[in-house]
Amino acid sequence: MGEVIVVTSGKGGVGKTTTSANIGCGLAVSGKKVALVDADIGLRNLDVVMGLENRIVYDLVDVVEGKCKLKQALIKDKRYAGLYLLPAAQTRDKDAVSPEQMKKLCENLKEEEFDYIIIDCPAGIEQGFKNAIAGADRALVVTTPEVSAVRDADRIIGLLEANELNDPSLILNRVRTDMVEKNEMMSMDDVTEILAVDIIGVVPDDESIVIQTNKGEPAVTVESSKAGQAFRNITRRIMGEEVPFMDLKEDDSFFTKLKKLFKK
Amino acid sequence: MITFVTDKDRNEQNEEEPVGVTQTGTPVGKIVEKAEKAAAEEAEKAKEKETAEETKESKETKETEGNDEKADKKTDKDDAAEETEGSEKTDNTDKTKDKIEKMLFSINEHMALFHKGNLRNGFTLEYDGSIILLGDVNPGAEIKATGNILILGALKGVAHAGCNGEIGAFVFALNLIPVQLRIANIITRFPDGDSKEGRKPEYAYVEDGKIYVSPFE
Repeated sequence: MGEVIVVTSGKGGVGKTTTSANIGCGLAVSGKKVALVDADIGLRNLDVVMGLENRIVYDLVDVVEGKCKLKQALIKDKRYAGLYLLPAAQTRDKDAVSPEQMKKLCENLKEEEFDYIIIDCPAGIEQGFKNAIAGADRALVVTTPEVSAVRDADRIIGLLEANELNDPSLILNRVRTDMVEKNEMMSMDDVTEILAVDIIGVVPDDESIVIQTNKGEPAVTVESSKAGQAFRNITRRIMGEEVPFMDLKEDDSFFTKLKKLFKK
Repeated sequence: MITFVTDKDRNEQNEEEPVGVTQTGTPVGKIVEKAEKAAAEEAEKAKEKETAEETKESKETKETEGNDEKADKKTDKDDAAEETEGSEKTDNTDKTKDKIEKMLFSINEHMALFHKGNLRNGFTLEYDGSIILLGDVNPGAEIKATGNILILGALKGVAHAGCNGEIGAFVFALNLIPVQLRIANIITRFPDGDSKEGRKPEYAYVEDGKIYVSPFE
């Protein structure tokens, strides 16, 4: 039975789409059958990040409206077997789909024997968010170490709990260790203290993310990339493995902070 | 000559039925109406400007009339078909000078829509006939016509010519770098990693069930 994971954040621009793409690829590399669903109708990006934009013929709205079969709309990834993308419609808006329809779609995807179904949620807490979380079994909340993003993540966690999606996992994205050292940026401890949820990964701010995203190839497959390594660890944790948090920088002060967290 | 390879992977996935054709039933969106209005206004503006040049004026008037006619008689298209054809042919005799124009009017049962402005991400321009676009089609935008498509700008989005199954339709653009190109029920995509810089005007057409792209000279 497949697991539906929604990647959400509340605030825009924190890396939901990048995280979805990387986790999807990471899971596919590990031999899982993965469906990436872009729920950001009208502002789709996941297809561009995955480099599959030119293969879109049918989209999520066509499936929901019965214009095509689910199998027709699923785009097979060009690199990894077992990785599929269900793109969002670009010429429609969030109201084209209802939460009930999304729930049914998720069930249909589960029937296609996907191990993981990853839903890329749009920013905001309106219709698009409600659609994205409707069929989810589990939530990943992405945030950056900024007060605004953390504030929005807090609101989102509240809304997720109100919708019976308890115990979301947190991904702290774009961490700059040098700034954390100087106490200019919130650390992992600070964020987890505010949000009080389990943290599943810390992703450093990394140039390779920008480079790979622009290439249409997720960074998770780049061995040398630190952010890629972070995403590889996250995928292993999603699959239930115990993976220690990586050392973001060869620096004692931050490492000891990480260690401290583990001892708690 | 650059050859687009038909997307075999995609076709395999969509083994159930030929792609593209099924979508032709989609109702004409709002933007089309807007576009028609815009085109009519555009033509009127142009008319006002160019009152001095008599020849041009008469041509513009003809186009404006054509658009109005189209809008009025859209519902009973079959009755109007012959009339429409007639007016298009008069245009034809005025213009037939080069290859592209010959191709354009080979599908002469349709009227043409003039649209000025860029088509941005998320917008669709649909028309029952040919479309002449003065502007760019950005990635994420779609231009769809039952006839030919002429883009006096860059085509960076999706274009679908002959969307009712007209295999003789073509797509022309000053810079032809589409995300995806469809003619009738044939779908191709731009080869991955192909250079997108410094391309000259090109047109795409169907031959032997494949879409080919040729430079326009």
